[in-house]
Amino acid sequence: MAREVVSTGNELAAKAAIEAGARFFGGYPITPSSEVMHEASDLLPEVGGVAIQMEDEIGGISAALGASMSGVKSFTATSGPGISLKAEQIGLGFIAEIPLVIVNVMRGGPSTGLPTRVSQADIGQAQYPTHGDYASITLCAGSLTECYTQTVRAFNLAEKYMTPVFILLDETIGHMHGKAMLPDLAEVEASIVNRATFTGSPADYKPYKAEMNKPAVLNPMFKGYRFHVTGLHHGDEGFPTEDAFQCEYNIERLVGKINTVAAQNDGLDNEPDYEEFMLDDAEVCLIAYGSIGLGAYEAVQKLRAQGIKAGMFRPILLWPSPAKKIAEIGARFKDKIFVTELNMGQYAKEIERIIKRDDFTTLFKANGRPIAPAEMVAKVKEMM
Amino acid sequence: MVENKKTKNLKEFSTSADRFEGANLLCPGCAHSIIVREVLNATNDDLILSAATGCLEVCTAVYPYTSWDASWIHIGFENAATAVAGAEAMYKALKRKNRLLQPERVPKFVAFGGDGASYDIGFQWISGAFERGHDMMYVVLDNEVYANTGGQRSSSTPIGASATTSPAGRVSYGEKKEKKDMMAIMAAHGSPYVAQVSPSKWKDMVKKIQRGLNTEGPTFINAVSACTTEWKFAPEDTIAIADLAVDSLVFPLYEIIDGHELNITYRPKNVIPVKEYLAAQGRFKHLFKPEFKHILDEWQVRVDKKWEQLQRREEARI
Repeated sequence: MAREVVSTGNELAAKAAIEAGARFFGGYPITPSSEVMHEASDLLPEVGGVAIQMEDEIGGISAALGASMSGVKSFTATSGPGISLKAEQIGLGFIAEIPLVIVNVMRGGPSTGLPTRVSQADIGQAQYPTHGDYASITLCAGSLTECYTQTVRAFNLAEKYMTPVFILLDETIGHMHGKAMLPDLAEVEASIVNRATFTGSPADYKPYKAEMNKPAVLNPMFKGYRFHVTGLHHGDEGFPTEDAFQCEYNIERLVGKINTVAAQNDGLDNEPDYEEFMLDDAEVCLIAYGSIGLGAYEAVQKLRAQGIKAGMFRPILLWPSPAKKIAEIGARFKDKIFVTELNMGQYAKEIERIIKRDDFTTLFKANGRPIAPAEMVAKVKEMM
Repeated sequence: MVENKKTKNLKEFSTSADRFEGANLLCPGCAHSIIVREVLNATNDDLILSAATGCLEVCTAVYPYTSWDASWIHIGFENAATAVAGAEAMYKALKRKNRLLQPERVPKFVAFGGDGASYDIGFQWISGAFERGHDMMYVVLDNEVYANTGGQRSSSTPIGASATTSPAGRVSYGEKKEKKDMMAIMAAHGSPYVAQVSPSKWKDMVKKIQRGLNTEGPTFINAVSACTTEWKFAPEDTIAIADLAVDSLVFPLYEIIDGHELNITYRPKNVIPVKEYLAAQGRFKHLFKPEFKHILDEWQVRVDKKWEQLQRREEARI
C-alpha cells in the first residue's frame, strides 16, 4: 500500500537511500543539503548503518567510496561547492567503477554563491563534474515523491552500471515541507538492484575484464577476491597500465556503458525518464525540470484557461538525456517550444544540440529566485 | 614601528569600535563580534584580513553594508589562512623590489576562521601557512560547532555535547570524541606564539592579541566564543558562560612561545566544578540524567588531568 508521509525533500532523499539499502553515509555540513546528513545520522544507526560527518567534503566522498568498495551501498550529500571539492574523487568513482549516490541540493553559484537560495546551475557540473572522459548519470527530482523514488532509482542505477550517480534536488524542493505519496515498502524492496558479483575461483577473478559497454564486476573487499583499485588507467586485474589499446578501450567502455547503452535501449532502466503533462493535444510545449516543473504545471493550466493549448515535457533523467523524445518534441512543436530553467541555459543547450535548432523561446533566471507561473504564462503568450 | 592601541579601561574596551562595527547580523549575544573587535582595535597599524565562510563572514558583510573598516577578503570555507598568506607573500615581494607606494605603512595580516573552518576543512591550509612561516596571525573563533549550517558537530565539539549530527537521545549521549587539541598542534608547528583567550578575560585577551600581532612569523590565537544559539543559553549570559569555561578550567588560558615555553596566564582563584559549566548550557542538558553520570565524572577527570599537564609543562620550562 502506498504510504502517505509529511516530510521534506532532503529528509525523503535520506529515507529513500536507507530503504534502497544504503548503510553508509559520509558527508560534511553544507547549506542547503545538511538535513540529508542530519536525517542519515538519525536513521542509519537504527538499521545498523553508519553516518560519519567527515572533516571536509573530500573526506565525505572518500569515506563513502571506501565503504562502497566493501560492498555496502553508500551515499554522500552536498551542494555545488561541495561537488567542486569532491570532483577529484568523483573521477576516481568513474574510472575505478565504484557505485555511489551523490545527492546535490542545488544552490546559487559559482563559488559560495547564494547558499540559501534556489538554483539549477549545477546541471552542467553534473554532466562533467571532473576532468577526463566519462559519462555521467544524473536524475533530477521534480516533486517530494520523486525525492524519494528517484533516490531509490539512483542506487539501482549506480549498482547496475557501477558508477557514481547524481540525484539533483534544489533548495526549493529540498526544503519543501509537505505531503508525499511513497510507494509501498515491499514494492521498493522488490525493485532493488544489487551489483553483480563474481563467484568463480579467486585465481580467475579479473574485475575490469569487461566486454565493451559492460561495467566492471567488483566483488566486495574482505571476501577473498583480491584486486587492485587505482585512479590510473588499468588492465583486467586493476593494475596500472599505459598500454594504448587498453587505455582507449577503457574510455570507450566507460562512456559506452552509459551513453551507448542508453541510446540503444532508449534509457538506462524501465523507469520513466520524463513526464509528459497535457502534451497530447498541445500546441506549445513548455520544457522544465526540478522545482521549476512545479511552477510549469500551473502555467500550463493557466494557459489552457486562457485558450492556449499548452503542455509540459519534464525530463527526469537529465544525463544521458532522453534524446529520442526531445528530438520528437523538436520535430512536432517546431518553434513552439519554451524552455525555462534556473540558470543561464545549461539544459537549453542540450535541447539545441538534439533538435539542431535554436528557434525556441527561453526564460532563464539566475538570481536565486524561482520562476513564477505568471512569468512563464506571459512569456508563452508573447510567442503565440 | 609597532603602535599598539592601549586598552586602558573597561569603558574604552566596551566602547571602542573604530574598525569593527557592532552593527551586524550576528545573533544577539554572539561572542564573535566582541573578539573580532578587540583584534582589530589592538593595533593602529593597517590590517589585511581574511575570513573563512562562517557566521562571522555571513553576518558582517551583507551588501551593501560592511562591519569591516579594513581590507577584507572573504574566501572559500577552507582557505582563510591561504588568502592572507598569499597577500603577505606578495607584500614581501613588493617590499623587496621597492615597489610599495607607502613603504612606511607596515600592515598586519590576520585570518579569521571558525572551528569548522580551522579544526576541520581548513586544517591542511593553516598547517601549510605555518610551515611556510608567513608573518601573519590566525584567529579561531571557537564555538565548538558548525553554527552557520545548522549546528553540526566539528572536531572541536567536546564530548557529550548534542549537535545535529551527534544528537543525544535514547541511545547516545551526543558527541563521543574529545575536542581536538589545536593549541598543541599549532605549537608543534614551531609557531613563535600560540595562545588561548576568552573574551571574559579581556585584558589577558588583548595582551595576547597584541603579542601575536607583534611577533614575527605565524602566530595562532584560539578564542572561546560562546554560542548562544547552539550552546543553548540566554543571550545575555555570553560573558558569564565564557567565565565559567575559564574558571572551570575547561578552557584554560595559556600561551606557548616558540613551540615549547608554556605560560599559564590566568589561574582561577576559585576553580568551579566542570558540571557547573556544563549545567549552564542546553547542549549538555541530557548529561545530567543518572545514566550519564559517568560522562560527567570523566569530564572532571579529563579537565583535571589537562590542568595538571599544563602546570607541569609550565614548571618544566622546556
